[in-house]
Amino acid sequence: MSFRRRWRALDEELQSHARLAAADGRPPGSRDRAPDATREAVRDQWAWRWLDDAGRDLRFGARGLRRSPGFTLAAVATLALGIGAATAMFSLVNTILLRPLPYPHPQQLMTSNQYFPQGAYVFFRNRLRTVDLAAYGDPRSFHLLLPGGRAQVTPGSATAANFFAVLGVKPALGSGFSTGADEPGRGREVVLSHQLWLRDFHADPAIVGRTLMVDGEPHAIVGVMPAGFRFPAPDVRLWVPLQINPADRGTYWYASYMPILGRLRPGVSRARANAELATLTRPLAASMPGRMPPTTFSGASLRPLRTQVVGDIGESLWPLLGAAALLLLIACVNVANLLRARAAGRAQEMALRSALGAGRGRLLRQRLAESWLLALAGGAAGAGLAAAAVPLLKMLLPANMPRLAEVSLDGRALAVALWLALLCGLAFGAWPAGRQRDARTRSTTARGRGGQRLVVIEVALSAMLVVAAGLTARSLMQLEALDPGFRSAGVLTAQVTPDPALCRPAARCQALYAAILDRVRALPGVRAAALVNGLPLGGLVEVTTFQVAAHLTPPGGRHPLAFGNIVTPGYFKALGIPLLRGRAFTAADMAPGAAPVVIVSQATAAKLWPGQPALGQLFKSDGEPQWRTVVGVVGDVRFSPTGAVEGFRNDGIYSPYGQPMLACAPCDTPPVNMSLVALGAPGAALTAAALQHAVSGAGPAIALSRTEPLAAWVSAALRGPRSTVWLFALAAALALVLGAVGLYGVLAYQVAGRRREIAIRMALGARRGKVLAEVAGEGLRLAAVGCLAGLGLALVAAQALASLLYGFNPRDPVTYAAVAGVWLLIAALASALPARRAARVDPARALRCE
Amino acid sequence: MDAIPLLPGTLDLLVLETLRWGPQHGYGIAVAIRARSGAALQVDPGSLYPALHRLERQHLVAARWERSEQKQRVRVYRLSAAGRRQLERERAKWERMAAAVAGVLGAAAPEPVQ
Repeated sequence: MSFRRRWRALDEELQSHARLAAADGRPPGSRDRAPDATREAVRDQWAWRWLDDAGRDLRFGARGLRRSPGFTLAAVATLALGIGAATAMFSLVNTILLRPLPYPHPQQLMTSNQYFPQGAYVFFRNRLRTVDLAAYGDPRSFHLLLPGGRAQVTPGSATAANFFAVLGVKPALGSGFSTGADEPGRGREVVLSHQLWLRDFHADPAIVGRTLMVDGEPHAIVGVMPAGFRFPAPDVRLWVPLQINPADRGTYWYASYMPILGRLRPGVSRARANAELATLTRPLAASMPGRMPPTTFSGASLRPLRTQVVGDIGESLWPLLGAAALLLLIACVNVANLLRARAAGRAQEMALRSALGAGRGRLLRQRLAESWLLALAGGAAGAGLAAAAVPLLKMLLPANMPRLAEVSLDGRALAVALWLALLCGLAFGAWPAGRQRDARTRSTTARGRGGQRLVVIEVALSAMLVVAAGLTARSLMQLEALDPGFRSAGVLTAQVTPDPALCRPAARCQALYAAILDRVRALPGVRAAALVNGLPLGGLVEVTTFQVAAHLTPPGGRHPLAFGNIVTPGYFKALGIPLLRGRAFTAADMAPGAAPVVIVSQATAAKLWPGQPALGQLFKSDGEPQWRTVVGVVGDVRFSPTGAVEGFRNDGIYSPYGQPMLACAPCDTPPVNMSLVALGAPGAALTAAALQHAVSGAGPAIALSRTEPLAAWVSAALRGPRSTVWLFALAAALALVLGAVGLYGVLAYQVAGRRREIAIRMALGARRGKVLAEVAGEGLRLAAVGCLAGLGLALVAAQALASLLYGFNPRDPVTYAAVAGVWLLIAALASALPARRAARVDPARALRCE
Repeated sequence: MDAIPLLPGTLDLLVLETLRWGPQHGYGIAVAIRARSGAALQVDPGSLYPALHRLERQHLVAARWERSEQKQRVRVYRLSAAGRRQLERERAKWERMAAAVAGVLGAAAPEPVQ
């Protein structure tokens, strides 16, 4: 009877008692006529009884668990693994994907879905009534001259003056940018991150008001941000105001594209803000100098800032959370199995207690109390495990993962762990308990079947996880085996960041880099040295749009895209990129007034001029005044580590350093920051220190950063996918161990239960080999059934992994076959011990025992 | 006569004994115990009903909703076979205990020493 129904029935009974007492003539003050007082009294008694019983059940359960430490340890450890993994992954997912951004009223924060030039930002900012806007540049390297004359490269962002105000974050020190700091003719200002202030300024409390040389110009330090503030990217360490100057038309309208941050004004919906924005895109296009199609910005809209911050990181995090959840499920099934085997071992004890008058409900409650205790202990241990695992996860995952620094084991994740533990307690407590009810009426073989079913489920789940790990690992191997198109052996690279003052005018910059190259080439053992605006594979080379003279893009049509490289002569030689046709760049191409030339990759040539010779074709980047002539075709190089960029994975174009730049079409200055590549002779000891020495000798305050072998750079490019593979592999290894233990447990239990039967058969002449084969065969059969089911499920579920496989076939037959093979091997190992024990049964002794 | 508080454990015995004479509702049981003890034993409903429900859960009594002679809905309890056996055991225990207590008290009574 349910609790509420019991109460209603009691109520009615007490009312009838009072009526009978009144009809009987009992005095009105008598207890017989006061049903409410009586009900209180009864409730007190019932509540006490319940508490008393619960306390007794728990004490009894604890005593039972203490008596079998092996079982308790196995169950708690299994649960702790499952709960710990699930909690740690949930902490990660909760912080990165679910928790609101750490700014006031985060739901009001928006970002533009596309990049805009400064002019568009000012146009929108002055007209929009529903949103406050602030533009912010993508992170880039800034050149700092620290006190003491040390030059340093620091990532930072150029932002609108009201950037911090729109985000709603105040500096911890100082007052931040002054109003209008982004307008022309203003003194330069800079805001430092907490980390930069701590590391390079020794947390100087009087820092505000000092001057810092940033990019060769004095900037007044106007603030230090609070610890943990890292917008727009995790590695940003300083912020300077944009320089918005409408008179500089090229920069104002065409260069310096950047995203725009917006904060909805109170009471404004995103839809309303977007509607207002949509009314402004045509007037904006019309107000731009030069004829722009009216639809230029027609797709502009605002979307929640969080989606932009988090990006597509969910694609790799959700499957990992899924893997952790599977592991938890396997752990639960394993514990259910342990409990079941234990229940079978205690059938006699239970029968005895039942005969002594313990009610069926009471026995069930005691068993539930035991599993709740297990679940709680497992939950506590799991929470501890998760607390240890979270810092490890943070180390393993790529540092540029958004919001990674915010991740900690939070209260919500702990609450989830506890809930999971209690749910597990109910789930695996109720099942064996329910089984136990009719244990007396069932035969041994029928009871064995429940365990078999559990083990099949366990093997299936575990096989699924192993398939996931196998697929991600094989996709990574495929990525790593892909020819990058260049040679990294023997190549040392470094990023060079000179004082930008040295690059005004452009000729000085060219002279500086020429001096750097000369000094590097003069180092002993250097066979080739060159500069490039961005190393391949890092996703750092800028994508540029261009036109081809042979077939002009129609107005409004989509321009072709490619990775625009700016290189010095010797680049192809240093990286071993084969020159297929035509010629490489020479020093003459870099001279002032040289004819504009370009070199294209093979893929680009095939795409732009199919069936025709590429050499001699005309080509120019958008906004460039002159056509460039194609003078060479080189081999394809992979620019993006995962090839995720649709349609132009390998398409590269190269222009010589010093000519008007492809990647920065309207600028007439060469890029300031370049990457140096130096190829050493085999066996030559080309060291970072030597490189540093050579470069710093070329001029004052040249900062060299990320000095490392090119191979390290290539390896780092795949850090993200690699960390995912490691996490999956860890989960799969745990799943394999748990599955093997589960299988072993069931077989061992079956053999123990069948000792008598085996003994009789042996006494009747059955051979040991046959018994051995029978038990081992049973284990293999269970594993095969589970494995088949798991592979089937994996075939369906693998689609969810597609974004982690980088084009690798989620139904790769080799992986599935390998998983089946691994599982059969594991099953053979797990069955061997019970099978041997069965074959060693001594008939005489086993039968005498009974 | 003044009411005596019930000794712990005796209520179940009294209830089972009362039901031996036939099915009865809760109020009837209370009245019967009061009457047969000459009003010395007053059963509080706050103890009676938990006891009845406890006995019911132990399958010593069975309960059913019925209509009384006054056409009222009442919950009527009757003794089960297990309850009858339990009653005999408890009665035997009680009698031995009463005799033992009486013996001890009798032995302790002050008697003139010869």
